[in-house]
Amino acid sequence: MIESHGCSVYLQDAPSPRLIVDLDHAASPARRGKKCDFILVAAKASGGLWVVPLELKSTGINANTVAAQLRAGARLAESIADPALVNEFAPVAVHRAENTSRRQYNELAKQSVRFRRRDFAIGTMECGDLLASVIEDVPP
Amino acid sequence: MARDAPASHTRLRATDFGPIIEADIELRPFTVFIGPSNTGKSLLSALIYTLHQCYLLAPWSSAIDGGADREGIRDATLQWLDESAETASAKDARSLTVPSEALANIRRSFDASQVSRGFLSELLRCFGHTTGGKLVRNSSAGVARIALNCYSSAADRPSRLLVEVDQGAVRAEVEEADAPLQIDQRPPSYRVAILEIARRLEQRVFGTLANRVHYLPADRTGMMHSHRLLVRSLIRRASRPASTAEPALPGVVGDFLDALLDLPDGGGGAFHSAEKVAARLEEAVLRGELAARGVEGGYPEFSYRPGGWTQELPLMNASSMVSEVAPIILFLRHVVCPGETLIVEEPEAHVHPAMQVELVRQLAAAVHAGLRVIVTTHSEWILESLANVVRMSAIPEGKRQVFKGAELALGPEEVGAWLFKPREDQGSVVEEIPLNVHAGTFPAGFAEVTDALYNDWARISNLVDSN
Repeated sequence: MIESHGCSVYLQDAPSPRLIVDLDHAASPARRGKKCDFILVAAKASGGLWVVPLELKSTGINANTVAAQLRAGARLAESIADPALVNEFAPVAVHRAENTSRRQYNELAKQSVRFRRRDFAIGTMECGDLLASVIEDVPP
Repeated sequence: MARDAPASHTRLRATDFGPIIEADIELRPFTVFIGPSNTGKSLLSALIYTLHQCYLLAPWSSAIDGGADREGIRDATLQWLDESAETASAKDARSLTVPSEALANIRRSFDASQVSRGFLSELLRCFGHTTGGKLVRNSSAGVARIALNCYSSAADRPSRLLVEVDQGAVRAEVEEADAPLQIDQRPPSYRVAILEIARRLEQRVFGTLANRVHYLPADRTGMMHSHRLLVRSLIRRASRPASTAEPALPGVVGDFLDALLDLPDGGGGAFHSAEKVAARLEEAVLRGELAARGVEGGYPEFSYRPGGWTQELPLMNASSMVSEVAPIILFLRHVVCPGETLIVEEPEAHVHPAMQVELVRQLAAAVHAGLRVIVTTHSEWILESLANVVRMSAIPEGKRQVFKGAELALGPEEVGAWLFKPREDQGSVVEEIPLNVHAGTFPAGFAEVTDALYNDWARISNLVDSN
């Protein structure tokens, strides 16, 4: 399980082996400045790597803020994982959906996160859910 | 009419009624029922309608009417009237406290079996059933229980109307708060005195339900287009031998059609404080004018004239939205008076979201005009608009003039949103949902739908863009 700001994500059935980088950790070089909470790098069952920047919110989402945080996370991820090996990228905002207004979803749909010169839509998941529910690792 | 003081309020509790396992709701001036289909929103609304109708049967007044010369009541009341006439001048004869002996005797004259009979009769009529058992939840012990609790600052405990419904019968019981009863003026006669006391007792037991109620059922468009046909068919049926079959229409629908037939010609009466609300709804939602014209010896004709047109259209040639909203406007203009309750099923039907938002604002205006409103809905636009109406009440007084429409604000104590949640054990439970200031709405499960839709969109977009 990973946790930040009173919101947790469970890792059962998530792709493994995996590396989780806690960007809030005292040793994190990205501790200051704009960033997301975690970056998960995991082996895909079919080969290659998953890279998943995660921003955890204990309440609802502000689309502009969370998109900026995930973009900063994507830039850090490009320096952590060899882009040539990454074939799945999924920026995820974790929140409590009942506290996120429809206006924020509409705004989120306009936002994207750039990774390896491609734009990705931001996925969402509920605090307390399994990460595996949003990143599907289909065996070969 | 002033809106209810928070100190007095009415709660309705229902268990094993229809699909409802348990509901315990406070009836506030603006009450909203939300939830999936088949969870009992309309059923609870119709129960509230039934209880209002039960009040209109005047159980105390009728009981006393039958036994007005009972010795205990008569002697104690006459003595009180004589004494108050001797001791009070016309000026200070206001707010007389009814002597406890007279009150106790009048209470004893009350016949609970009459309430039971009246409630059963209204229950079957309003729901269009032949037995009360059809309203008992299938998987329950076979008894539906209804409790109306009316709290008043004048009494330590609430006045209660308790009703049990099972396959064979309805049993009603009244526990009236044992508090002093006051009447405004010395009654001119014994008869007026006891009927006034009876009316006050009825008001104490029925609380905010002690007034007329009007029900605008779902599918108003169909009814507005076919009401002549429906009425003709009912008249034809009425001339045939009595049948044991189910009634042709539930009473809530029949009463609605009946009220349509009685709509007067022309504009609203001066006493209709909601006339301004009706006019605003015409302007902002219909963008045209409605007309109801009585035809001598026949059914009224409804027409709509779009803004800027000189010609009127029969309602069936106007958009479905016009037919759907028309009854709300006609009732506000001609029928509903301050203090009365207007129940509107699914006001969002056929109505564009922008107009739903305006509709809620005008229903809030109706509450300001002294009406009470109950709405059943599946619309998140309705909830978001209502959320804004409540949120506006938090704007400091000095800043309200900056925000257009802030005069429509209703405090959180005036608005109740109740979520009907399906439960696995074949039924639903009803819970209050407070305003969520982060989401700007009353969270009713729509967020999960939005979240799932959004995530499908995100996944689809990522797949589209990967090619």
